[in-house]
Amino acid sequence: MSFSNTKINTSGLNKKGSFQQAKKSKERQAYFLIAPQIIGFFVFSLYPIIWVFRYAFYDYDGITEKFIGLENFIRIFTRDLDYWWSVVNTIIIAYGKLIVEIPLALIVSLLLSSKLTKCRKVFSVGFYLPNVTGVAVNCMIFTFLFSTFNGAVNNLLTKVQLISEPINWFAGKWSAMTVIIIHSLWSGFAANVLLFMAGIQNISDDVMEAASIDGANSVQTFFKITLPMLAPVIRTILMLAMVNGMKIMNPVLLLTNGGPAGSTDVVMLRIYKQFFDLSLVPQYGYASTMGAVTTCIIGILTIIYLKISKKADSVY
Amino acid sequence: MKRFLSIVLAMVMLLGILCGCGSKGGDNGVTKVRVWTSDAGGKSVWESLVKEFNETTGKEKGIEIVWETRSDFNTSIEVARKNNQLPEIASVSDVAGYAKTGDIIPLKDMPGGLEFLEEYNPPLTQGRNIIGDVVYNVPSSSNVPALVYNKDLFKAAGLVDENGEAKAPETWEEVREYAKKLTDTKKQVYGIGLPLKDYGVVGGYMLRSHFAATFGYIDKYDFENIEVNFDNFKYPFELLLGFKEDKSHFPGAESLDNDTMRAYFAEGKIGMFLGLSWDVGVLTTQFLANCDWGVAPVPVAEGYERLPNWRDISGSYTICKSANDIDKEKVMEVYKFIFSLNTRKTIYENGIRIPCKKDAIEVADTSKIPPQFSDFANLLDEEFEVIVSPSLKLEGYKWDEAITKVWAGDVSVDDAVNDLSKRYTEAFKKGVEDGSIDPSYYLD
Repeated sequence: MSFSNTKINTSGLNKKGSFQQAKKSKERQAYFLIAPQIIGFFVFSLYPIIWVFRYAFYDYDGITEKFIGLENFIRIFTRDLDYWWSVVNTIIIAYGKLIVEIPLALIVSLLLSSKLTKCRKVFSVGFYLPNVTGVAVNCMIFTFLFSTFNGAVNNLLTKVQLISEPINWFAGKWSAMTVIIIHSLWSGFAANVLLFMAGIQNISDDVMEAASIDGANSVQTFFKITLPMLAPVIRTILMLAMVNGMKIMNPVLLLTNGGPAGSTDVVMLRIYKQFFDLSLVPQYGYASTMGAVTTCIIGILTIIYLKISKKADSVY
Repeated sequence: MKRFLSIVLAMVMLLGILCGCGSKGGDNGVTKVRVWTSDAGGKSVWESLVKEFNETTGKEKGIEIVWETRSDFNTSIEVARKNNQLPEIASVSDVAGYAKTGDIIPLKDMPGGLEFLEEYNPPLTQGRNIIGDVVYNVPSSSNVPALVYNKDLFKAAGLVDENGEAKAPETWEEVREYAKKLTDTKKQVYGIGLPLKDYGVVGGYMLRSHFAATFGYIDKYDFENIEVNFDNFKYPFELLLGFKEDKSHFPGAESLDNDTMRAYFAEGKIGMFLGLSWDVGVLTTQFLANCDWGVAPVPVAEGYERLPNWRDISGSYTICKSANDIDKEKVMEVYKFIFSLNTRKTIYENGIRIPCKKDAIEVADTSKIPPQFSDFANLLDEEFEVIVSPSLKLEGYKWDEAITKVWAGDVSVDDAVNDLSKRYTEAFKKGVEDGSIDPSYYLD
């Protein structure tokens, strides 16, 4: 048998080889493109985290370091009551505002998603403006709004005869916390509105149409269709809101500076003050311990929440 | 094309890297001495002083001062320190830290350093100018306290002398009485401003400086017995609670910061506040006062003899180790220029800083500065011994935070004072035990 006239088709083999080469080249390109991000993560995120967990076991003043084992942890768990009160304050602010923020964001997103609402874009921009103006400006506005002297809120309440004397909003713990929560709500709920709107827009019109054909009214549609289909989105929003809420610092610093008398101190503000108090010998080691313990608390709360809310992913 | 562009880009980047490399010394026999400062106050005045020096003495002696005011000073100096690129002279704040690592040079190791110290003879403090028994730098200016009051409101309230001029209170008891008389809620005028949101300012500057004339230091450090005592804090605490009881303070003290308080004073809403000399600049350039205001010596508690008026020291410059790489005599020449009588006098004449020594005040032409600034300067008391408290590793709240706790009623005055004394003493003892504080340096 002669094969001299037989042409062996090798084109397929060549194609496969160049395909592999092209694939490897594209992989290399992809790694090259994400390299800055990964390097940045290691340098600016992972390394500082390791630094913090390391120095939690040291007495470190920025110049000299001395290994002290668990002494910082003993201090935080047995002697530093102010730290644990700041954790409580943080949980009250972070979780307390969700009771109003989530339903409010949902209602607003439903209204903005409805075709019956006019000027939806104007409202969307208006609600999002606080995020654009910046924390410092917002807090300054709130300080003047809630000022005891000629504050707009006091003037309004006096005019409608709800109060006869101006309220000193920043003199008491709970009134000051109320101002912080109102500010937090006002500046933060628009982001959740956008997330809800994205979730609502993902609900197929066919499902809504089918519900309407089956005779469901708007309330039934909301509770039986819309809300269950939004469950995964709600789960994510709640998780983000809780984690971000635990990291609140700037509004508290600017509105009350932790006052009156440290009663509105939140955990990040305490850590910040511990790190950057120049009037005493720096205690970066203890501040690192506070950071490490806080990270663990946030992590534990997040894990608990994710376990409890696991069912939300399988609702629809 | 791509290759060409990438080569050009690489060269530009390389050029940028090399630009960061400065050259020490100078050209043509002129020695460049770099001075970095964090103090932006009077930048233009300093620049003209430096220009004059460079064109006269500098030209003669082959020196050129390169003066840099840095808004991000702390970061810049740390980066320079780590890269061994410190300037020759800088307004270093962490003198102890830099001395420990050998990044700064004692004045005795500079040619003519000891003679300069003897001639200038400024107030020096342990921990700021002296580390151990070695002098590293000297101050140039001081901040001085005084009671700042609204003369118009005083006259309207009948608080005047026999000539009908506003009469400032002389005792703290009078301050409380006057605050009550000045307060008129219908006219929205209040006796005294207390910016308790900035409790660091209230405690660290206002109370500490204003009650020194009665008690000396509020926080008394006993360097022999290693104890800290806050008994002197009882009187100021009780006075603050008195203002609260009388409702004679500007409302919302808990959320009132120092700037807002001074703005309301400028608007004529506040009768008086515990001021410092830096308030003159604020009330003449930042929040222009709409009232006739004056400055009076700090009051004294009834029954107490007036002690020297408090002052702090500032405007220090330190010689860094990079001075070893160039002509040290020329660096010292620049150092002497910074602290010369002419420089200190010029800075004062332009209303920037009050000199820490009266010699510059006495020869200055004060015609161009606000009269209140020279009033503050005239209250400078060189007899006041400046002591910088040792830095402690403290557990719990600091003494200035205690002000807000007492104000809020969270803790009684006695409990606050006892708790502060106990915790500060514990931290002081720990510092002595671990060697971070040497009390012998604070004893004569």
